[in-house]
Amino acid sequence: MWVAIILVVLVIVVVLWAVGAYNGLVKLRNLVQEAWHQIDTELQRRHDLIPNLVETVKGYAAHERETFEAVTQARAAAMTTGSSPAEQAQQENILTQALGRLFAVAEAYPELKASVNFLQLQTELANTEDRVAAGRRFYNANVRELNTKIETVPTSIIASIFKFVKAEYFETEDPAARQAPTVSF
Amino acid sequence: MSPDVGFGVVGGLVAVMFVLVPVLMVAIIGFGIYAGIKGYQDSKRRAAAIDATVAASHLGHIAEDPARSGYFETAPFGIGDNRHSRDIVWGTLGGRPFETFAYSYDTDTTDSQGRRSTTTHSFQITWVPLPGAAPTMRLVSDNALWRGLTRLGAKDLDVESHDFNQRWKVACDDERIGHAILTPRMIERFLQPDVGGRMFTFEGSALIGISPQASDLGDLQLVVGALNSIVDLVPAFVFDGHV
Repeated sequence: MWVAIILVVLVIVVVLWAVGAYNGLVKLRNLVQEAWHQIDTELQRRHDLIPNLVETVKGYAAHERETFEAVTQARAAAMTTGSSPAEQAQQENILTQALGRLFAVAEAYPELKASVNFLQLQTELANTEDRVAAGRRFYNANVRELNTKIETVPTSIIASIFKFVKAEYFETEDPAARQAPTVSF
Repeated sequence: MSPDVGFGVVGGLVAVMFVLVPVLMVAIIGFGIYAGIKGYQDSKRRAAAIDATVAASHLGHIAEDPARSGYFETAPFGIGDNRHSRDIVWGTLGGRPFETFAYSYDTDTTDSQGRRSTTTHSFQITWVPLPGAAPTMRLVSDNALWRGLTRLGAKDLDVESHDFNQRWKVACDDERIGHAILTPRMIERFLQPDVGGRMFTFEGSALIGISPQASDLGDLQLVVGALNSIVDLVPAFVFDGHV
């Protein structure tokens, strides 16, 4: 009789734990997806700023066609929908490099560097990149937690039964490397 | 043991008690007087040091203001009884405003035998304004002192740096904001030795630095400098209200 009671209690405890572990994994997976959507929104904001930036630079340095084309192509590739976080990160890195060349071009044009419109766009872009970086850290923290749960015992048992898969990290170059300059008049 | 020997032992004990008890009493009274004098001298020295700092940097100073005890909501504020805010000093250092004050509160504990004792907890609070309001976030240096005094309650935020995770416990209202504030440069800043052993809280439009024990303001420049360097590393968009 006692053995049966102990067995029933044990089964109840295991079932309750399994439900808790499963719910925890589902919650984390949803959090990872939500964090990714947040990054997507910020990336969209970043992509939307680029045409204006290119047009502004064109106004002062029209003959730098190759640089403009590289930025436009990189932007189009980065805007392709359905990319995985790793693919998106690779495209964003290419875009960051192309933008770096665009800003290097701007360095050679003092009038452009002093243009209020250009400075505003540059600041807004830096601000957006800060947001992307913050979103990336939040996303990666959730991915780290989800992947750790999927890999560690005992939650790994529930993860393998219900086929939870590890999420991809989103690793981009540090946008803080290119900061908007402080201008004093 | 013969009755004579027994009497001798008891007599000896009584004699020792007659000597020991007065000696102990004198020692306790002496220690009390010494502690009282030392406390008085320390408080006089501290008051003189504060006056010197106030005069040298043209700062404002008032001895006590009960309203300060209700300025902030997060720990150590809102805990215990008999809350006091003393030696409120304010002004600008390096062209940037700040305020600092000694804050204390009492807690009562009762032991298993029903004896009640009161403990006074003292802190030095220094705060600087933020460019805008930020959600509440607390960074607590992970040492035994703070562990005893604070209860984070919320989940500890982990970042990419193992060193940082070991040294700081972070609790915040919104994890996204936490990750937005803890940029790689901010993490690096919190790994520098001058901020260790303290507690930092983002609350409303203020960044509050909390040190254990009331200070004589000898480290005021350092503390205000550290607070402002932290404020400068917060990305501007955090204060926009829509991360």
